[in-house]
Amino acid sequence: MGKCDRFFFFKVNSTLVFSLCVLSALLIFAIAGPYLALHSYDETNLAFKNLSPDSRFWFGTDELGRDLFTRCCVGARISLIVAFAATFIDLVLGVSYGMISGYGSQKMDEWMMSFIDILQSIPYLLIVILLIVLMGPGLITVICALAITGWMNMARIVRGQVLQLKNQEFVIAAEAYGASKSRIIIRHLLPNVRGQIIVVLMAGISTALFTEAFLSFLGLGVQAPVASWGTLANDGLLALRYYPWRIFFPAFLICLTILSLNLIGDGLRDLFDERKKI
Amino acid sequence: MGDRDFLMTTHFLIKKAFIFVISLTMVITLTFFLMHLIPGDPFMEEQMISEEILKAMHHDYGLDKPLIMQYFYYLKGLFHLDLGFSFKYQGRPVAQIISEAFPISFALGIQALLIALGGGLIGGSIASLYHRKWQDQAILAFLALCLSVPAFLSATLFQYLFAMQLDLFPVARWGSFSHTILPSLALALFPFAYLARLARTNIIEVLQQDYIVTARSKGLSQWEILYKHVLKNALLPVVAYLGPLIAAVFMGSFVIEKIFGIPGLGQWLVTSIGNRDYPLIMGLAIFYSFLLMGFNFLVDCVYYLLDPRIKKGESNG
Repeated sequence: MGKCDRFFFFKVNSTLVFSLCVLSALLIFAIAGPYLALHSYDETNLAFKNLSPDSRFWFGTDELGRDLFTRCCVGARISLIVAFAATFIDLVLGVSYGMISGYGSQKMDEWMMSFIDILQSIPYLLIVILLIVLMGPGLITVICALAITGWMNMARIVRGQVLQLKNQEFVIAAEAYGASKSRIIIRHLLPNVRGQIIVVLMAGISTALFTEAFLSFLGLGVQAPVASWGTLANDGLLALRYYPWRIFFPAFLICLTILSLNLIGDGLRDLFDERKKI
Repeated sequence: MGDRDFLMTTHFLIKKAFIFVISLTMVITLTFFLMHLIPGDPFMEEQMISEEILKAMHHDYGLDKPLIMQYFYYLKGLFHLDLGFSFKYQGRPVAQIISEAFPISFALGIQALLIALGGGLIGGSIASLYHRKWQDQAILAFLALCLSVPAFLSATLFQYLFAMQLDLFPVARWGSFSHTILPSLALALFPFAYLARLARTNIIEVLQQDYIVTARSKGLSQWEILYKHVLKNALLPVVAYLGPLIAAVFMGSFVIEKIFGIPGLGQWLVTSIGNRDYPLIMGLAIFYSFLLMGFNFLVDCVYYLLDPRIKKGESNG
């Protein structure tokens, strides 16, 4: 490790640490925010509509006089719940699919991968939109819609890793000792793919946040009075000309979260993958 | 050897074409049935319609037949490029709506694509030439920022800043060239950043190869090396990314068209879903899928022809 490398490594790590701090702050904001706030998220008061931020309404109010700070906190909860839940389903589905495909017989692998090829060539957004229209917009629907389209990437990457690993000595040795397939997958393959999985997971969370915001923008996200960052930004958009702070706060929160997730993903990739350290 | 290559290529093309056909059939079937499961009736809107009129309208549009029959009628029409008539905009064939809206979306998409490709390659090359210097770090930070802004926010920001505050471009609508600038910039932002990072990583990887060291020892300048040796090798992954790139531009166009009030395909799709305009939704979904999947098919073929390593890898595996 040269001087430059060490310097760079430190730098990568400091970014990583910093973005982890930002993300934790956002999580605390989402969890504790509503208890700090002076107002409830759906309390309307037309006397206080469209106020700019002040000591009473920290982020201002919307056109019904609802406190935007509380709404942003609640929005944070919804947005993060959607993103994490969808990614968790992706994780379970994608990892098991990828493991089975990669470690199973070659014939099965071919079939399973062709299936993914077909699914991935379908423009998923159309399916998502149709599903949401069909099931009615809401929290569960958005999570399902995101989950059914997001797991394929994970499955592909896990399968690729397993294909590389399964002919290495430690796996062959385990097989020779008579370890069962499930034991090999859990004890030997999974720990070696862990780094990759975490990196894909980070990208998955930020993609889910993106898509949730996008769907909310089209009016297909969670419905009022519940709010997510996407719906708040969408509401703020209508009042952009006269009350620009109404879009500023949710927009800022969305961007900050995605930025920190992206940076964490990059940092972790550099940590786990020596080759990619560029 | 030539025969073998030919055989492999045909095998590859047939496999890809097969996947293309299956996916398209799946899209058509899925869209058709999902759409008919959407609760509500396309003719129930503002005013109450009497039972008889509703029945007559259902009969007129073939909605009183069993679903499976409707499906086969639709397929039959599809073979004649007949996508039916819009429910909402009575008397307008879906094919006509698409043929009017498509050139607009296409122009917007192509412009955004060119900006993303040009900007991405230039940005990536500059960053890789200054690898680990402050210029590289600055570009990387900027790209990370670009990757964190959803399309609808960047579009709003551009609209607010350049149109409302600075009054440099029209706020919305479609018409002259100046109308296209803000939407295509907003649409290009994310793919640009992604491409630039991809190009940078690949160029740096190629720059560390032996043949580059040779070229450098021959005394070629940095730019000459980049132009003559690096780009050709570093561009392959960029070609592979073209498929997702097009998909991203399409997805972005839904939002961008809504924000800027552009009468393109995305705008139509969003309104038609709200209106439960079955034939229009179906027509648009199929058109989109056909376009995207057709393009992916082309990209796969080009990639296959460009990169001799794939053929080799397949014969080994």
